Amino acid sequence: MGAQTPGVDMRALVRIGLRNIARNRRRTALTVGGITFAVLLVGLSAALQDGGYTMQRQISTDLLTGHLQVSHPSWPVDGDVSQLVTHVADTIKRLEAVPAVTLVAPRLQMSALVSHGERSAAGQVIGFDLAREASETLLLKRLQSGRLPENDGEIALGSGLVRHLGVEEGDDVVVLGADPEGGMAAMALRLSGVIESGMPELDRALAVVRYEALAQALSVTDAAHLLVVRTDDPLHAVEMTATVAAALAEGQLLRNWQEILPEIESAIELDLLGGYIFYAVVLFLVCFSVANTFVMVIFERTREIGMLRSLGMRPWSIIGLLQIEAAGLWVMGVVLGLVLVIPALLWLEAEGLYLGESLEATMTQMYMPARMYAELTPRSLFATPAVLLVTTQLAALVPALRVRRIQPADAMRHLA
Amino acid sequence: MIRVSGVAETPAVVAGSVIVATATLFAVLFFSGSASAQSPTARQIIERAIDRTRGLASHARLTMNVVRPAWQRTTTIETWTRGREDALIRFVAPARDAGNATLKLGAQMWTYTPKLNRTIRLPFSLMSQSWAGTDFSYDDLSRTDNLLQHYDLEIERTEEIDGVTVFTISAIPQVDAPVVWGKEELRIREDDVVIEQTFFDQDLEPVKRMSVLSIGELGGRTLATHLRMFRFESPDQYTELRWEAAEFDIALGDEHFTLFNLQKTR
Amino acid sequence: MPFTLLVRLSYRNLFRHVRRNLILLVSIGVAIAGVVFLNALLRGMQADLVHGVRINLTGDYRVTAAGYAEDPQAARGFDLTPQQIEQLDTKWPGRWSARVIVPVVISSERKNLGVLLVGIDPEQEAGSFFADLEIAGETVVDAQASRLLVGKELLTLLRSRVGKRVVLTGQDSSGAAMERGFTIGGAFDADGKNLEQQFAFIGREAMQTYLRTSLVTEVSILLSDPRHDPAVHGQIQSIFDGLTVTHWRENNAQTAALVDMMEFATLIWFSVVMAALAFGLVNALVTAVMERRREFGIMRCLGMQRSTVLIQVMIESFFIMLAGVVLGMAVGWAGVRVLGGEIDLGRFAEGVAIAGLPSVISLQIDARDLVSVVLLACVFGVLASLIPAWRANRHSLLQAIAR
Repeated sequence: MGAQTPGVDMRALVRIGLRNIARNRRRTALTVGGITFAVLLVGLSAALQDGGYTMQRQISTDLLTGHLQVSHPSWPVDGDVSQLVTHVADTIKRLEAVPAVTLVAPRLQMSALVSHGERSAAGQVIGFDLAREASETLLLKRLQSGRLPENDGEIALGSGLVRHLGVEEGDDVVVLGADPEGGMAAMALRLSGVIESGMPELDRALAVVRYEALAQALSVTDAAHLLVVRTDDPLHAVEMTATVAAALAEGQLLRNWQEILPEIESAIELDLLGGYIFYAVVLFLVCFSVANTFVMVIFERTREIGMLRSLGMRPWSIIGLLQIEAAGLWVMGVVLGLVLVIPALLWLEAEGLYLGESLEATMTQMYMPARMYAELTPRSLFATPAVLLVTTQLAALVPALRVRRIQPADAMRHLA
Repeated sequence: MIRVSGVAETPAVVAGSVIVATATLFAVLFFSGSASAQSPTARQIIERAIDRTRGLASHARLTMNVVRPAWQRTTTIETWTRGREDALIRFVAPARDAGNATLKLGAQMWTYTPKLNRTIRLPFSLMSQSWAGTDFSYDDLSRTDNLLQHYDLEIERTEEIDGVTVFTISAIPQVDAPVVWGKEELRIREDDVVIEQTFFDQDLEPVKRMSVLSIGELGGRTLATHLRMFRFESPDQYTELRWEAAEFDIALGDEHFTLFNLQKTR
Repeated sequence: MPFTLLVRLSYRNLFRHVRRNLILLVSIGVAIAGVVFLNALLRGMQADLVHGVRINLTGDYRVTAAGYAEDPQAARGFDLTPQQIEQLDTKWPGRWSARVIVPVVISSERKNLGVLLVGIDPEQEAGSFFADLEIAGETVVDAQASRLLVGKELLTLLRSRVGKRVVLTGQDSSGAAMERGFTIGGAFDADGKNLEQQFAFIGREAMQTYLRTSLVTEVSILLSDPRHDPAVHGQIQSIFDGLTVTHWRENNAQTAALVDMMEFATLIWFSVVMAALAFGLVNALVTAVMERRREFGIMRCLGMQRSTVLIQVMIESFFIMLAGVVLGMAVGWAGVRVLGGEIDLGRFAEGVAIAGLPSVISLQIDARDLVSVVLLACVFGVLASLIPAWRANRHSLLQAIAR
């Protein structure tokens, strides 16, 4: 043992430590198993959670909002029909030139009286550029029956509005609103389909027409209330806010989905916070039992430690030895854990976890797929190893500190 | 973003609702009567203005000018009124709006658009709202005849302006009154021409004002021929009405206030 | 060897190896306490969600007249007979309330907004969110109360204040237009701005006077079990012949979906927690037993039978498990109590309140879950000590002592 000098020969210690790990296979298996389990368990659940958040962000932006919206600066507050974005064609061209932008679509909106026969209700008429948006915006795919407007004489209504008006497909619907200059904007249309978003407030008010039809009724050209921008990823879009804003003309307001739907991110944060409390407890449990195993194993080695001391090993060297052993076990456990968890997560990321038939119907109602997808995030992979490193080192330190008090002779005599 | 709105968030869309109300109001308030020599009470002044309109039928042509920072818009309308309840109003110009018409019969209202050739019955909920394009709201205006029923009236002061006596009457709504205002203040000349009406909130801060810009002779009567409504928080936005021609005490039968007549474009 | 002797021996063993057993005890205790706490957290979150839906005036079952759901109007009401009231009072151990709810336009000097005007008898509302409202000013004191109670958010939007007059415009029971001024008596603060924007309350009888009707538009029944029971549904239907009876899941498909998902999530989380618990127990016990191989050898040298050694290990484990479970339950329960049955996330997360989400997670201890925790702990405890002890016992005496 090359530890006769006050300076510790690290290489020798590492060699002894590793040999100890290899010698006590069962003990090693138990401890490494514990660490592996912890990495696996927390990794899987955190990744599924993160995957859930990603899905939530995607679905809530896909529904109607998009990732970024260009509007007149006052429109978000006032919603006045006269607050328009102008030079739409030109603006679309410039926005489409921004990298990572996948869709730019103009929309017109008008608060209006929607009537059929003697019945009428307040509605929100949205003119969609269906050529651009029909395949992208989730709301437009939520047809309960019929189809989206195929020409300027057709309209699709929310299911609640349809019930309230008592209107059927093919029936006449009249829309009365005000144009940007206070004149009457009137449209007579035929009901082509019924949209059910699953959100009762929306279904009670929604009226979908073609952008061109509403532009004509409002007597506007090359103008829109909103330009809806989609990018490759909702979070990326938030980072891109400044870049995209630079491509806009003065007097055009750009907002990202987090500003438009602050409740989504708040809900995620809230859930994350609840999740953190949860993880803290789970992690504490798992770490505690790993540490516990560790402490117990090391206590049982009092005899061995005494022997090492009697062979002339310095207390600090012994402590170092135990720390090295702990680190070795940690590395093995973490590597094994990651080796197991990463393929599992990759599979869950690609294939998803099927939630079963009974939940499928339910999930569909919320625009959610009936699969839970995981997402490989730094948090899910590395949080547990980091916490465990600290835990195992501390756990190894507790008995090691007693080493200085162990007298070689006592320890040798000590029986389990 | 979609505004998921209840009934009320949707701006009432039909110009007619406001103008009918306005026309009705003018029938009530802004037609003058003859001057009275005695010094009257506040109640009598208001009563007199209203009494003179009982059974009154009128036909008028006026221009409306809506001014906004970004735009302004002028339309010409023709109105027929009978009493305080019934009215027919029709847009005459510009060509884009010509033929749009609204009929009010008691508490019911219909609107007609020649472009669609459709008559739509307007729900009551719309009547409680202001029309997006103007500064008038049906709400305040349609309740004018409630002044006698739901308000405590008092003459605040009497003054001489250009040799004419002007009464300033404060009208404070009673507790359960269907009135949002804390106070209304009317300035009425001794010949019963209302020259100003101000609406105060319940903290007695002024919210909006209708003021008469000129008074003239039309159809053999002295009346306000030009008035403006504006809100104190945005005085650069306002709506003005100017009477071009008017005739009074004409014969207007029931047949005039029918859906059939509503749809006549001329 | 007599069983009592074995028990005494095991008992003495516990105190001979104080250090090791204490670690074991704490380990089990912590695991159990953690599970109790986590479970309370999960169940609390789930219960909050379901509770939130059911108390938002929906109740479990709702009785309305045909057509009311599509077009809620005072005209689509029904008469509540004394016989029906008696049956509602006696048939189920739940609460019920009769209400008049119609959409109206509420106007202040500066704004018109649509709200649902809810006429209530506050005595019947102990089960709805109305009972939990934080109120500034005056609440709806009884069914005759004619001053309005509106949400704080609505008041802000109207730019009005408590004590001011607003005008309500709507349709009375004959479909005729009606409008009247009302004084705002109080403002309520609810979880979530939607509620504060959506509802205005007033005494039911005052509202009936205002709508010129004696009818109610709905009866809402809140039972102890949120699940849909076709038998109960049928019973209610038979009381209210000719009316429509719906369960809250039909009216709130989205929330029902959310609740189902939550149930599923709870199941997953519960498995995770149980896995963590099982892992903790097995790891601790296996380690403890494994380190005692030498001791078992000596015991067998002294003439103990293999089976006797196993039984002794089992008894020891059982004692420690029992103590650990009791300790853990006590600590977990105390933890929940100390927090006062809830975790206020608002203190940690800014912006939670702004988005109008409830920021308090309740903690709820579910007895059935605890039983499964105890059972699982016992099964894993016994297995985790028996298997390594049995394996250790297989070695020859010589091998065992040689270590």
